[in-house]
Formats: sequence, C-alpha cells, structure tokens
Amino acid sequence: MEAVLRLEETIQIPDFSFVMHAVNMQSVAGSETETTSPEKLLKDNLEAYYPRIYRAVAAYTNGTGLDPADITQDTFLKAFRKADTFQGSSSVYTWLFRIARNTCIDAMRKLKSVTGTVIDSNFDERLYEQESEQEPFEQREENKLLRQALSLLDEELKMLIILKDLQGMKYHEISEVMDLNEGTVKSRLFRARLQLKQEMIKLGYRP
Amino acid sequence: MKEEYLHIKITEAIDGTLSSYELKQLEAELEKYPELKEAHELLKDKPDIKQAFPLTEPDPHDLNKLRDKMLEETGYVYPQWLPAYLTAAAVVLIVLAGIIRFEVRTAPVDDAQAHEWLHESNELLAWNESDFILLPELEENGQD
Repeated sequence: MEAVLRLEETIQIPDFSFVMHAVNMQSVAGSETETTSPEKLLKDNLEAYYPRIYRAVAAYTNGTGLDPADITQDTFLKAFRKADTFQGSSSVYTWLFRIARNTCIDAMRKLKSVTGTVIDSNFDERLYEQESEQEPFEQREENKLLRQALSLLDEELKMLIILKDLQGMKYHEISEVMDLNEGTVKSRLFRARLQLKQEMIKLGYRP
Repeated sequence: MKEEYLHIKITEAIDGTLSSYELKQLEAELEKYPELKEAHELLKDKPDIKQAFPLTEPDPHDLNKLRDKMLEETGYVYPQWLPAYLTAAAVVLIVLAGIIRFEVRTAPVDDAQAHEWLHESNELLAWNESDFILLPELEENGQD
C-alpha cells in the first residue's frame, strides 16, 4: 500500500522525473516491486505514460498523415498483451518506448506499402495550431520549421533526436531502445542533430 | 576513426557531460578539423524541440477507449501457463484412471464372496436348463 502511495507521489512530479518511476519503485518499495505486475503498472499509470508516448509518436509520425492517437493506443494494447515479456531489467518506460518505436515503424511500413511513399500531410500541423496561438510569431515559425525538418530525417536519426532531445533519455536507455551501443548512439546523435540543423537552415531558419 | 571519436565528444559537449578540462581539449583538437569545428559551433545553438512538440493533456475520450479495450483484453486473454497446466492435469487424470482400473481387476476375492458367486451361477444354470427342457413341450402343443 505504501509502495502504491509513494508511486503516486512519484508520478505527481512534473516533467521527466516520473519516467524513472519503475526504478524509483524498486528503490522505494524494495521487494514489493516483484508483486506489482506490469499490467497493473500500465493500468494504474496510464494518465502519466500516455502523454509522453503520444508526444513521441506524434513527433515520429509528423508529416505522414498517420494519427498519433491510434498508434499510441496500439502501443499500449501491445504492451498490455506482452506484459509478461517485461523482464524488469529496464524501466517500464524504456520497454514501453521500444514497443512504441516498433509500432511506429510498422505503421510507416504499412503506409508505404499502400501509398508507395510516406505522404507529406498538413493534417499534422493542425495538431499544434491551438497550442501555438499564444506563442510569439517567431517562435511559432521556428517550431514549424523544426517539425518540418525533423520529418525529413532518416527514421533512425529522427528517433535518436526524439529520444534524447524530446524525451530526455540517457544514452544507455537510448541504446536499449535502439539496440545500439552507447558510442554509436552518441556518434549518430551528432549526425542527427547536424542534419536537423542543416535541414532547418535549408527551410529558412536563421541561427 | 578519429572523426568518429570527435563526433562522440561533440555530442557529449553539447549535452554538457564533458568537464571544462575535456572541453578545452576538444576545442584544441577541433582546430585541426575545421568542418567539425564549424559543426560544433552550429550545434551549440540547439533548437528547443520540446516547444515544437508540447506535452498535452490526453484526450479523456482516447483514454477511456483504451481502458475499455484493456478491459476487453482481460476478459478474453487467458494466462500463458494455462494450456500447459491443463495438459499436465489431463495426463495425471489418465494415469490415475489406469492405476485404479488395474487395482480393481487384480484385487483378491475372499472365500465367502467366491462361494456366493458360485451359488448364484449354479442357480442361473439350473434355471436355464429347466427352460430348455420346456421347449419341446411347447412345440408339441402347437404354441410358439
């Protein structure tokens, strides 16, 4: 019971700190972690996990016309079905993100097989119209350029930027999600960031 | 090889994981690689991707839909160990049934029981014989 209460406290903390809640659970609750099934974790913390997975999926599929809400739903359902495959060696979040990545890749493949290519869609920009109304014009333009430039990157480079700069994951967590060693993660991250910046400049960004 | 190493170091510098000494070393090294030095300068101005993809409250409708689907899954999905347990239980039942049948067939019979069975079988035999004797009489009287 105490573990559950402390878990809820952990989730209240804004931004990135909740991400490591499974790890916190381990250090706070000790042996009680073993009795908390991944299914229960998913069900109980859906409100906390959902927005972050949704944001990452939205960033990954931006410009394709795919609905991030559908892919996020698929991600959670897959995770729920495969809950018994969660080993506990990584955090629930890292495991969840791995599933999200695979779900995105599958959805992109399906889209390519149907349309022949990933389409460039304005649908995605509508997702950010409401939020950006309060921001200054320059910031809005920069955000728009950034979203467009990101959609032009290779899938792997795009994912690296999302995991590191959007999700704030550590190198070792990224290497778990991407099945790469840490050195490769860092060197590809260099290329990803550089390519993103170059694409932004091509689109009109002035640093 | 050296460039790959410098890519790693630039990433660490951008993410702020290098010490000031390491950072000075990197900058000195980059003097020999003008392209990488330029890239490093370019990457120092990092656009804020979090602003481009803000964290939004989940749509309650989406969350409820997901919860409903999870509930459906719970109703239909059985645990993975169940088929193995059912198979094992079936094997145990078959073996037990075999053992019980074998014991009943080979169970010893006491004398009193055997005597009773013999008596019953004699009575049955006698009854059959008397029936058999009656048959010719029926035929003689023209009855079927």
